[in-house]
Order: sequence, then structure tokens, then C-alpha cells
Amino acid sequence: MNGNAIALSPDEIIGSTDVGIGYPSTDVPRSARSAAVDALERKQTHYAGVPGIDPLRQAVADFMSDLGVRVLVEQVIVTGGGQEARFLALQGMIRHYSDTLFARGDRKARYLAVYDIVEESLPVAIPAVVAPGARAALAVRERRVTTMPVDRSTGLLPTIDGIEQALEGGSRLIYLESPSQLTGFTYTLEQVARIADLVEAHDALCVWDQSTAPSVVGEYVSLASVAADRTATVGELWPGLGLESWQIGYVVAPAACVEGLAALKQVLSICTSTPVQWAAVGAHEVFGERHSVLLTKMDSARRDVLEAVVGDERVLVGEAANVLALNLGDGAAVALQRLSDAGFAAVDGTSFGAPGVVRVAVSPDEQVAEAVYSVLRGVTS
Amino acid sequence: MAERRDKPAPTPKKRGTDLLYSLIAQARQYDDAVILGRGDPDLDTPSHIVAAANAAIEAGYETGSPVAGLDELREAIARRVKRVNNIDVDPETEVVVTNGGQEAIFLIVNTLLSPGDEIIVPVPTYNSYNDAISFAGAVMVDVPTRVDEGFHIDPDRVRAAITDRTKSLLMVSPNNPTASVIAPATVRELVKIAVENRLTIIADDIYDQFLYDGAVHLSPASLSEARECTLTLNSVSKAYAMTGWRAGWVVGPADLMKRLAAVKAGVSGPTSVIAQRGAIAALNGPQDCVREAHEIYERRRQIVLSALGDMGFTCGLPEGGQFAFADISSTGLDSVTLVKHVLDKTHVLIYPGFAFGQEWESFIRVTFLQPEEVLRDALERAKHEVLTLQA
Repeated sequence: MNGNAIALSPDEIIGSTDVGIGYPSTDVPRSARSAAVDALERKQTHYAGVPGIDPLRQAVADFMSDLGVRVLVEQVIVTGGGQEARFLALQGMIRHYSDTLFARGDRKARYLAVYDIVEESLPVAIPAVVAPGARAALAVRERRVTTMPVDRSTGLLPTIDGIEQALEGGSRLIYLESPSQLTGFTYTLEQVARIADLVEAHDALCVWDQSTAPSVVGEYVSLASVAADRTATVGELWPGLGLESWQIGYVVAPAACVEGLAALKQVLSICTSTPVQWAAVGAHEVFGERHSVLLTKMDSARRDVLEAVVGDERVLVGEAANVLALNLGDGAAVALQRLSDAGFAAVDGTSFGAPGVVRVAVSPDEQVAEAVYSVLRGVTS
Repeated sequence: MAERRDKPAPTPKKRGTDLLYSLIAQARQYDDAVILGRGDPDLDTPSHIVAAANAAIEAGYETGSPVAGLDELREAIARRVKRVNNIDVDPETEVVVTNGGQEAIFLIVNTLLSPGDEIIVPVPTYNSYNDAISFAGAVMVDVPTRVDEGFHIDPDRVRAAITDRTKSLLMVSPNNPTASVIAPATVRELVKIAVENRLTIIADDIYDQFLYDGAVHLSPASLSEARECTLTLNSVSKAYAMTGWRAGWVVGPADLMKRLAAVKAGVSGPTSVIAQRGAIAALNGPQDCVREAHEIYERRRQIVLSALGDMGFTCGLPEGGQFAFADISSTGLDSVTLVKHVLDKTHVLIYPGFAFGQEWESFIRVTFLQPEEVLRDALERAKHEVLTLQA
């Protein structure tokens, strides 16, 4: 392993044998804990505003700005984790819902300008290979779903042709991940521009899941940077800071959809847990610095293993450094079993719609990473 | 002596949650605003709960919770529903932790109902039921209750509303917004109707620890014949002043709970472990805080009922909850106009009955959720304005 990698202190790496969650587990930063405790002492135990507390919405807006997307604080809705964000964005932008819930009184004119686009009868397009949460969100209210074909050349992301076919086929709401939560592949600037053109040309909307965008090494392009008024961006706060089980996420909605999605959020849960929101504000203070260290470490660890398997076409090398995917076909079961026997959890691509693929989260703990990769080298060799 | 004032012109109407949030937004513009509308207790979360949450926060990283909730919390919930509601559940398969009572409502409705299904809802009712039912594409069949009947549910009206598309019956007791409690005999009668017609009961027990004047709450699921056809929801929000934490639960038979957990996985995944740690402390810790809150609300309730009486309003029979639902028809105004007028003139916000449905526009809902002095002052301000209008 690369001994020159910038190290997190050992006590910041927790549960690092769990390689199945897609992101390494690190301890919750002191700033987050202090902010949460302080919030409780300030009696921040009552309902927060439906879209979230302003400091956290501002932090999300700043985060988006770092990704090249200028958004207003008012466009940010804080959610109880990434899955609620997916559900909110996917289910909240379908015509049926706007008609029955949002289309009341003076809201009607504002919503229908957007929501008329997505008739309930039209299928929602999702990637053929996608994190299970998207399918689960759509299954709650059984929506018509069509799948966009994926390709090995795009790291199991939907191809541009596949996206176009879905739109030509009548879909007016598409869901895309970038990075792919299975392979870590992202869309390039050129591809994102093409997707934006297609969405515009077909008068469609897109839910863009960028939950693991901070783990991208190099340039990352978010669809909202070129199609802001047609994109609801969703993600989790803040990856790599140990807040997974605290459940905090976001939707950045097109301006015309904000009030509608906030109305759905109110129906879902009124607001996101107030003390947890304050914790996320505290976490944001150190997110850039800590994640930078983590990313360097993950990237280094991943390079090491890539050197070991260079030329092996079964290894899918995406832009996100947090995961490594291996297309092992019939060997996937053996790999999963060996990892399990060695005490590690990996993700079976079957749950994403990609049987034969194994996803391994890249651990910043060098010893753990070496042990995992040793198992994998045995499988891939 | 109250001065005479021309009656305000009717106010253009928003509805439902829209209306309530626009009123809250207006109230927040005033430094001296007193909000007697929202169901958010002014009391502090008890210190032992905050201390437990602080310990969980200081512990830092915690491995994720199952979608159904932490084992420890599910066990605490099972003990709680046995202790308070006499409901027997298996914590492993018959309890799901939710993001507050609000998510519990959404999950239950979207577990039980498909497009076109009918659900019988005694009205008026909490707005979120309307919204969740709309989302599911189901049909809400209103069964009216009446102020002159104490807002009690008439089982005959329920029976008459059943069709071959009816799938569910909602029982909210104590009721929000009317504060009525379903009498045990009526609960038994409604359970009988549900069983005979193979309906699933949704039992909303959110205010089950806030009963007054000797009222008795009977949870439908405590009856053996209803156990397999009832989903019961509750939360720590109202009893422990934990509205902002977002922790609640649903209990019910394993087959339905398995489906509900799957819906929960699609809607939001697990509930925050911080909220869950707080809920564990609330349910497992000393319960004096609930009794103290009850005593406080009981005193405040007398203040509210007295003031409403002074204004010439009648309230049916408010036996539970944290609010009163009063008939304001003596003013000759609709509720939105009166509420807007009182808010404009006195900066006191009460909720218009219109928000709970058009047929309730001659009612208002007033909560007890302010300290006694604030409550007295706010009601005095409101009373002066109402009496001025009536002069």
C-alpha cells in the first residue's frame, strides 16, 4: 500500500471493516457533536421549518456552489437522509400528486407550469443498473417505470442513446446517478451537456442523484450547472463524516418546484430532526478539509490495487474513489463468499440490477484495504 | 366597554396546510406574536432525555439502524404500548420506528390503500390524513361528527358509509382537532363493524396520555378481535415535548408491519439514531414528566375553555388532547376571516376550522401550548377583539 498517503488519525477511522456501505466509516467530527449538543442546550427540540434550518440550507447552497452550481438558499430542502431526498424528488414531480395535493388555491398556477410536464400515465425512466433506493421510492406509489439501458463503456451508467430512447418513448421524468453508486463512474462535461439538451428538447425533468459526488477525483459536473430549472439534485450530508446513521440529506429543487416539494416534505415528516440538522451545520465546518484528506487516502489506496490488477478488464475504474467495482460474472459469488469469510461486507450488484458485479468500498485503513484487496486479487487472478 | 367595530370583510381562502403555514408565516412577522395554533408543546424536552441524547452524540459514530428501528427502541415501544394501551406486540416483527407520527400516518395510509380504495374518516380530522390519502390515490369518505353531539362518532353513520370498496376505518382518539375521545363502548362497536366488513383500523393514539374529566381511552388493538386488523400509531412528540426530534412508531400484526417496513424503506430508510436514542430515553426513563405535562395542560385547558366561554363560543366536549375546537358562529364570521382579523389586530394566532374542511369554517382550534401567563394574556387580547366585533 502507499505509505505516503495522508493519514487520518487512527481514532477517526471507525468500523472500517464495513466495506459495504459505499463510503468509509469515520468518526463524527467534534464540530458536529458540539453543534448538536449546543442545539439541545439551546432547546432546539421543537419543529424546525419544513425546508430546514437556514444555516444548513446555506451550507448546502455553498456545497453546490463548490460544484459549480449557483442556487438560492430557498431552493434547498433538508431531508431525513438520502432516501427521503430520492423519494421526495421522484414522487413530488409527478402530475398526479400536483393535481391532488399541490393544486390548491393560488399554488395551482405556479405548480402546473412545471407539473403539467410529468403526467402520471407517463413512465418514469430509471437506469437499468441503479441503487435500490430509486426503485424502492417509485414502488411506494406504483409508478410506471421504464429502464434506460446501460453500457460497460459508460461504467454501467445509462448511455446517452438510452436516455434519448426513454425520452422519445414518452418519459418526462428521468432519474440519473452520477457517480454511479455501484461503479463510481460519472458523466463527462460533454455528456452532461448532451443530457441537458435532451431534457430541454423533450420538455422533461431530471432527478440527479449525486450522493457520492465528493469522492470524485478531478472535475465533477452536476446536471444542475447546465439545466438548473429542470433538475432536482439529491444527495446525502456529509459523506465520509460518519453521519450515515444520523440520516440527513438534501434536495435542491428547481425554483418553480420548491414550494411543491416542501409541501410533500411536510406531509412526509413535517421537518427533519432539528438537533441532527444543527449537527450537520457543525459538520460542514470541517467537511472540506476532512473530506480532502479522506479522498486523498481513498484515491491512493485505490491506485495501489489498480496497479495490482492492471489490464484486468473485469475491473471497472470510475472517477469516484470511494468504490471499486469488479465484473466477475459467475465468479461474483465466490468473491462475495471469500470477502464474507474474511469478515468483510461487499455489495452484490444483483441488488442494483447488475448480477455478476461486486462493489467494494475503498477503505482508508491501509491494513483493511490490503486485506480486502488480497482477497480480491485471489479472485481476479 | 368594548367599542363597536365594523365587521371585517371575508378573507380570500387558502385551504388545509397551505392556509395554516401562511398564517404561521404572518404571525412570525410580529415580535409579540402568540401562536395558539400549532401542536408544538412549549415545554422543554425533559433533561434526562436530553442527557441521553447528548451521550449518544458524544459517542459519535454509530452503525446504521435497521429500517424498522433499533432493537432497544422497538423493545421499549412494545413495553410502552403494553403499559399504556394494553396492546401485545412482538418487538421483532410488529413494531416499526418512524420519523414522528406524521411519517407513521403516511406509511400506514400508503401501506393499506391503493388507488380507488375507500377509507372512512370521521371529520373533522387532521389535515395530514387528507394529504396522505390523496397521495395514495385513495378516496376519503367523510363521516361527519357534530358539535352538539360532542363530536362523537355515530357507528350507524360509519356503517352506512361502507361500500364494497371500503378498506379502512380511521379512529383518532383523542381527536385532532375536536379533542373528543371515543367512548370504550363506541370503540367496541366500531371494531365490530370493522371486523364484520374486513376493514383495517387505523388507530391514532397520539394524544392518548392527555385525557380530562375522567375520559377513558381504549385502544382498538387491545381488543383481541381487533388485534390482527389494526395498525396503531403514536410518537414521543406530544407526551415528551419532542416534536423536533422526529421519532414515532407503528405497531400492528406482523404481515402488515412487514409491508409497512418495505414502504418505509422506499420513503426514507431508517430513522435517525439520534432521534431513536432520545426516544429510548423517553420511553424507558421516568414518566413523571408526562404526568406533570398533563397537570399543566389540564390547568391551561380550564383557562382556554373559560375564555372561549366568555367569547360566547361552545366547544362540544373536549375530553382530551392539547386544544379545544370551538364554534364561533355567534360572531357571524367565517373562521378564516375571524382568525385573520384577530391575528392582524392582536398578533394572536389561532387556527381556523376551515383549514380542516370547508364545513368547519365556523370553528376555530385553540391549543394549550403556551405558558399560563402568556395564554391568559393572548386570550384576553383575542377576547377583547371578538367582543368588540360582537358589540
